[in-house]
Amino acid sequence: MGHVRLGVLLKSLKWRQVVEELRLGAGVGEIAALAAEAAETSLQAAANDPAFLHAFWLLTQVPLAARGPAFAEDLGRLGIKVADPPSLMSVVAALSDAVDRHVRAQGGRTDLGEMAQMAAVESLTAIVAPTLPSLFGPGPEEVQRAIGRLAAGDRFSALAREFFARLTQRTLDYYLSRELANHIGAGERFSDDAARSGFDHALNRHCREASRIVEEFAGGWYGKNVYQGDGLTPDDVRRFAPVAFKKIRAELRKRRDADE
Amino acid sequence: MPTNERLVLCGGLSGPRKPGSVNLSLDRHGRPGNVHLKIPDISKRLVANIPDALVDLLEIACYIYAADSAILRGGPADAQMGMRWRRKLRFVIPVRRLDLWSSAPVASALVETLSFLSEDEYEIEFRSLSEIPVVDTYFEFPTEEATSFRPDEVILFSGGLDSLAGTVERMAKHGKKVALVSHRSSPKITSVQRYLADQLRSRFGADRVLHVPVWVTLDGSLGRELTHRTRSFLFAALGAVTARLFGRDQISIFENGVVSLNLPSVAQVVGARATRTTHPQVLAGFRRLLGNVLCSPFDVDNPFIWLTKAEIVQRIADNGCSDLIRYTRSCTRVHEMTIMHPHCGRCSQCVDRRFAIIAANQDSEDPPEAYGVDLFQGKRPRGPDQEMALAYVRSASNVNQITDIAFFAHYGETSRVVGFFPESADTVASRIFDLHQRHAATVCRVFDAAITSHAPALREGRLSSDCLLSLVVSQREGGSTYPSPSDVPALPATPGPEIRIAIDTSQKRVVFDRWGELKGVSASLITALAEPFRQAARDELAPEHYPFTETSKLLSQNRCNDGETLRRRIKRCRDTIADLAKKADGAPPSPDAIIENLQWHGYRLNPDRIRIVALAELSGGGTGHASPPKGHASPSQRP
Repeated sequence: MGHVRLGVLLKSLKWRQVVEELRLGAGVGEIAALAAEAAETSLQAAANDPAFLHAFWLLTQVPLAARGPAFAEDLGRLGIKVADPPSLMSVVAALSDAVDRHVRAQGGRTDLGEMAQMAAVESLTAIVAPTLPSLFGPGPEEVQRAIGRLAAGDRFSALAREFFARLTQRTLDYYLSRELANHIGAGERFSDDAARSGFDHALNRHCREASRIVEEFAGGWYGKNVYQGDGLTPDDVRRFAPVAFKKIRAELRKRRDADE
Repeated sequence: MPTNERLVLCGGLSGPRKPGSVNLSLDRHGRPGNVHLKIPDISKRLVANIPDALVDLLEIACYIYAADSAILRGGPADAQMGMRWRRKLRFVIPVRRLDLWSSAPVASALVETLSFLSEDEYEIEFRSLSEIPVVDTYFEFPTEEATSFRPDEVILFSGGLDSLAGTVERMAKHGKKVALVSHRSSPKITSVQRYLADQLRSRFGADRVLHVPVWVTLDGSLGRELTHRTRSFLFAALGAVTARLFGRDQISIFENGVVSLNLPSVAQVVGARATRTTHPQVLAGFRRLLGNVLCSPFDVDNPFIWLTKAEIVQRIADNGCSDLIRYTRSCTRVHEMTIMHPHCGRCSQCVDRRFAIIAANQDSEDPPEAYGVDLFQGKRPRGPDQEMALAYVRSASNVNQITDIAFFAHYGETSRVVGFFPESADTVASRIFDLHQRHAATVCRVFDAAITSHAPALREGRLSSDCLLSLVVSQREGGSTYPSPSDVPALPATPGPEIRIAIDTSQKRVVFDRWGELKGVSASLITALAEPFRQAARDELAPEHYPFTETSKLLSQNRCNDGETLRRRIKRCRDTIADLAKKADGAPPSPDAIIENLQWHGYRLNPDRIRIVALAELSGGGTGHASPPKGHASPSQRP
């Protein structure tokens, strides 16, 4: 009974330019910068997107909860309902559920918010899991300790970079994946789907590199708000998001210009 | 910002148009009505006692399904990031049991389940039904044997491979009597369901199968949107009503786990663009809703959740029914079905079915001619269908090589699955990974075999340039292979370097190794926090159990009047330490490296970084500035 609905790329001037550059064989940097420009309105909308704001705010809070003696209880105070003691998988699931409940109550779910929610849970898994002896085996203390280490500014910055890299890449691919398959075949940009897949990987690396800029200032922002201010609030996240996306876009442009 | 908002007035209700919204009137009872429901093969005796709550459930499900089918979700370009995909639906529905449907447990279970199922926002206002219509107009009353039939199990029977496999298994292996509830969405599917039910009767006994095909049809103007994300709610409601009429408290929906979880195969598939028809969270929602409506537990189970489609096809064969495979229908494009090509071969279900059939060595029972497009050699022109098939192979190839960590770091949607099973999240996650690895290995094996069997045609460039084989494996020289999955970034597992301090109570100071010393208020603060820290160290507590000192206690210990003054003192203390460290090492520690603060708990020295030692153990014997360890230059030695 399952089904998947695929779409097509918008026919706006900016996206038509992206298609043309794809056809002409432009590099990943060029395509990423153009696509980010075409998707700018969507990315800037993140600052008011309820799922984005709540997901990223929870990402800032979960490591703090893991520092204390009442991890499960403190997660519960954040709306992240877990059994005590929680595993990484259950923390990630409960975080996602908390975002779902928040957005259901508030309304206004969007595709961007959906991607942000997924980027949040994926980032937490991607950053924490490799520091554990195994994904499913470790004791809850090890999981709590590994998550808690992200509460240091320099560690949180890596988590923030991962989140923004994933969200940027997902957003660009959300559009580009509607078009890339149209450039496969003899005489086309991609000789086969594997070559197209190679482009996906290059785009992923490119977004990760461009997101380094977030890592550079997220740690200071986190430390300043958490340890020197009144705590990090959803409003702090609302102010941070447009700055982060602006910096990433500038970085994408810079990297494109450097390639030329 | 425009929204896709609609007011849906049901049961012939009328109301004022709300500015900015579009009203849609649905009527089951009026004449002629635009939503039609007919349930045959249910005996008059059973229906005589049908509870009002169940009739309400049927009608609500019909209205939801009708509105879902009538209100468009925007085009395939998903302008403004799919803003029109998610609709805001406000229903006004008259019911018999207003008390029940307005109760918080029922109302919240209904709205939450539907919201997740279709990704729409629901607001449902129930009103009391003013005129109670006659219930038996929904039912057609059949033969005597149907009257006395008592099933062991009620199965939702779509006429696809999975529901056939489940039914066959229940009958052949477990000897069950089954009631098969089908939604007769189209005459093309109805004949298939009827034929399969007849075949099951002839094989396992006419007295062991009751087929309950239910008609839910909409007037033409209501069937514009074909995504039908709430169809499984209607299907489950029909099944639940049938089950209750037969005194059962369970329905089974057989669906392979990969389709049930429906993880996105490509980045543009966001949220419910991949159907959640039998998603574990949806089935849990159905259980919760039906339990609340019926005031007793009701199970909605998918016994095939941990099986791949290929494994399910194998079960049909193992139970001696492989000859029925060709009569099942999986294609989602019913309107394109022809006698020659009952399967389009292009939609995700057709692609999935064909891989599974070949993997289970049942291709002789499901001839390739039945597909409008051959899986490997058929032309797939540019567009969403081509990408669908490519994404299927691409993601299988990726999952086939991926580690468990990379899998969960790639498929965030799994976070919406693991909490909806009785087992632990880790156990469920491990099963999800195993399921997808088996599926991926199967797809890759079938594809690799196709490459081998078509090797000469590939080498000679005889295949169509837009067939799946050519698109995945270039016929030109220099064709590429799928890249290995991206690495997950590694972060050091250990915390930052140790910071050694000594508390010199006689001189009321705190000395930092190599950095220097603190005196005055800052020293008092750290001294106050040092005592519980020492006790925790003596007790050999794990870092997360090192106690925090509550703000109120720290206030009194430091003779502070209020929290704000304390916060300023803590900040000054951190700044002073940062200055000392910067002078000594060139870089300040992070603000939490010495004093941590945590909402709801208070303050403590950071157990990951701080080590309290005797003064004599510090380099330089406690001056804080003497002989640095190898590799560190003292401030005076620096140029």
